[in-house]
Amino acid sequence: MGKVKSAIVLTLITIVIAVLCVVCFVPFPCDGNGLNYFNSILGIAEKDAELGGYLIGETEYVGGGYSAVYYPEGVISGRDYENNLAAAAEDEKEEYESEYQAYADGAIYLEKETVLDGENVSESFKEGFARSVAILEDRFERLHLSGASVRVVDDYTVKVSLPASYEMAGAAFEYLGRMGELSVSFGSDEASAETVIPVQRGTEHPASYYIKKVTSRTASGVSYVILDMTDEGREAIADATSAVSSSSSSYLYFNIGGEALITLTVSEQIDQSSLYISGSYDEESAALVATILDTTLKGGTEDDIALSVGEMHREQAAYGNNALMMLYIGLGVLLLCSAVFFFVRYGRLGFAHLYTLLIYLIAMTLCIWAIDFLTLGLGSVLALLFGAIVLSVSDAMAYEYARREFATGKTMTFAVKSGYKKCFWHIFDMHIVLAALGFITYFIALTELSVFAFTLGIGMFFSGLCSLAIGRFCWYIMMPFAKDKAKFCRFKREEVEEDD
Amino acid sequence: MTKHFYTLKKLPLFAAISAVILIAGIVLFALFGFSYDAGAGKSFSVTYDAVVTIADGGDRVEEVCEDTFSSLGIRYEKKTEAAPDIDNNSLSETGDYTVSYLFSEETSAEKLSEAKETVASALAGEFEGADVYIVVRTQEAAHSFAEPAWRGAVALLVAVIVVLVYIGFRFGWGRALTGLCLTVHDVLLTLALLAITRIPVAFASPLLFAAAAAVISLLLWMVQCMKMRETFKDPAFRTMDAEEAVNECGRSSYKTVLYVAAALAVVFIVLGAVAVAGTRAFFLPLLLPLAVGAYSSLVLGPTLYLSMKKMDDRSNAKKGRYVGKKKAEKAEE
Repeated sequence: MGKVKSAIVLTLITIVIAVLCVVCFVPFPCDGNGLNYFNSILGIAEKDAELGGYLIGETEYVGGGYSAVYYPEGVISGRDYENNLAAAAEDEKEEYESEYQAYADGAIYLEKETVLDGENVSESFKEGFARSVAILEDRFERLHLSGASVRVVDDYTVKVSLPASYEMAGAAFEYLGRMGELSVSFGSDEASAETVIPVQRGTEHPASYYIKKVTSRTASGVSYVILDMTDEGREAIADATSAVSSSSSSYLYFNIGGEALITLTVSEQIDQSSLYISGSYDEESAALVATILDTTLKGGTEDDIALSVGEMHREQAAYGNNALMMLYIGLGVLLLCSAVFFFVRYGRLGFAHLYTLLIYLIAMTLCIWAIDFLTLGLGSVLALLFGAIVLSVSDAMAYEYARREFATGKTMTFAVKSGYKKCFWHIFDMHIVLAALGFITYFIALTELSVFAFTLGIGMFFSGLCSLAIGRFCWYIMMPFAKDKAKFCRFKREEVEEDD
Repeated sequence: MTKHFYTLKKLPLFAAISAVILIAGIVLFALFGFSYDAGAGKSFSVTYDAVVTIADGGDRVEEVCEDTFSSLGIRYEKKTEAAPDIDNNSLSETGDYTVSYLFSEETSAEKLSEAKETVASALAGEFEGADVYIVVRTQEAAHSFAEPAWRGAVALLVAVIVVLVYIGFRFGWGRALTGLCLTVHDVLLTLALLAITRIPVAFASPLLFAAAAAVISLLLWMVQCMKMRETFKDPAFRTMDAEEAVNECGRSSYKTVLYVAAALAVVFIVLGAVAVAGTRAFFLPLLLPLAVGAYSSLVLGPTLYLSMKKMDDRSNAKKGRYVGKKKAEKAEE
């Protein structure tokens, strides 16, 4: 490539990289009064519960998480107790006070009638609460969300948290606390609907006798909650809906603890082994409803204690507000270290590596922003770093091979070509092995590990691409500007030195 | 590197070192598990109205709390920044903020109760009519979810086996088998060291450490494999016996492995140094899998591969496929 062509291409590439760097990494105010603000791609990329957490334009929250406290029936927070007491009429205060007993130094209050057996908490309450906590843990685990947690607080309340990246957080907190037995009723309205599952047939069977499992599926953009029925379940539903006509309005209610979770309009007899329920579900909401129904099916009993959501908080980054900023500074220092090393060892060829590394970082940032399930967290940062290291190692390897080729007396152009040819399979093998490791792990693993694995996979893809194609191209277009090509790369011809 | 560093005689020694660490790790893990930072302890939470009564006074609330703690001689382990209370249905802010401090389980309940009263009276004096609610709660460790752990372990094992099949095709089955042994060894040894050193980790960290160990192990072993393949192409190596060839190859490759390991070490140290406590607790312990990977790749791997190469050479000689010496002789001619 001639000097002019090289200059044009190099200028264009430099401008594109500079613009993309600004778009990806540099937030800035758009006007003097600070009302309009440009958020970088990195700024608006989803963060996880540990690292992320700040407000964008005071309206949108990125990263961090939500926490809520569940109170079982008969337990209220100390604050609610104080507020209720203050709001009660003077003549009712004493009665209200006598209904509750302080627990955990007044952090919570226990309703004597529901919770206590004399002075102590009743065994039946303890058992019911333990069962409810076990179901709640199962439900939160099945959401497969990194940053989700469940812990018991003050013995009889449960503190839960979900990452802010989970869009169904509000609904999840509300519905995941629903406890009790799963039942299906049929009728024209919820109040008068008759229970069809579980039904009395000589001996009473639980709902799991009629419904095998509840799952969710999304196909062609439509999400379903799928109930796999046993023969008995199919028969029960078919019997109940046998008299339905399209003119009458009848409904099937899928209840938990007597409260409807799904209301299904029935216009003809339902006689299917798998009941597909669609509607306004998206993938997350269908999965949430299926999780609630399935866990209730497997473990719900009528003695379980319902949990209601108490105070909720929007938590900032678990590692503190500065965690992300300090991480960015660390990454900046590493970028600088890498650039300095390459400039010192390979002279102005360091620019080729710098361009390559920047393109890699831009590509990865765009991927983390654009791919729905990727969030910026420690796992994805670690994977991104592995990609950057492998890229640097590959670049160094290619430069060293070219250096050796040049030292044997080849021209620079031929040395570069030959160097890359000799190390191509080394670089290819290194990337393909780590990319395969990432993608295969991603397909099986869950939560943080799957994010790490997928980021590693795409990181290796971009690292390989940048090293073998972009890096070489950058070198190719930068070379024509050097009068002394060997000096440009700090390469030396050993034979020439000896001759001198 | 001493001459004939990689000898089969040393394999039992390396295996013994690894076995001792693994057994100690398994025992400690069985007894105590990993040192999870599960957030158990006593929380001291102050909820205040940040819109009307204590508007712009959040910093002062935190200052009062922290002064009170230090005057009572109690230290919190973790502080949760002022988090807005939100409405259950709309997730919109209610105007209240809650700042929380987590104390260890051993912190005296009386001291915390005293702190509660002191902070309440101080804030009442400072912000007249302020709506402040202070509560001390005892929270248990967060429940650890089992499914991500076992699926992660299966995922890593499957992925490692698949990529080693590729390595088998590209670099030979001896190196693939050695790589499999090394990767499994490195992952287990990293987890054992994590259990032994009692480094506090988040729930997901052991899995990420295991994955990092697998990546580092494969990366460093790949470097070794590349060097070996390149070196063994040299006709001079065809005349050497297995031990000599592996030893010579080790001499030429150890620097490259060390350079890659050093680059990784610099990354982990820089990020550990320029980081807040939470991220530091993640990046600095990554030096463990790195050290294990470097040890495996430089010491254990070649020793293990030596035995496989010897077997391979014997098998090839039996089949009459070992033609290296003839080739070398040809080359010399």
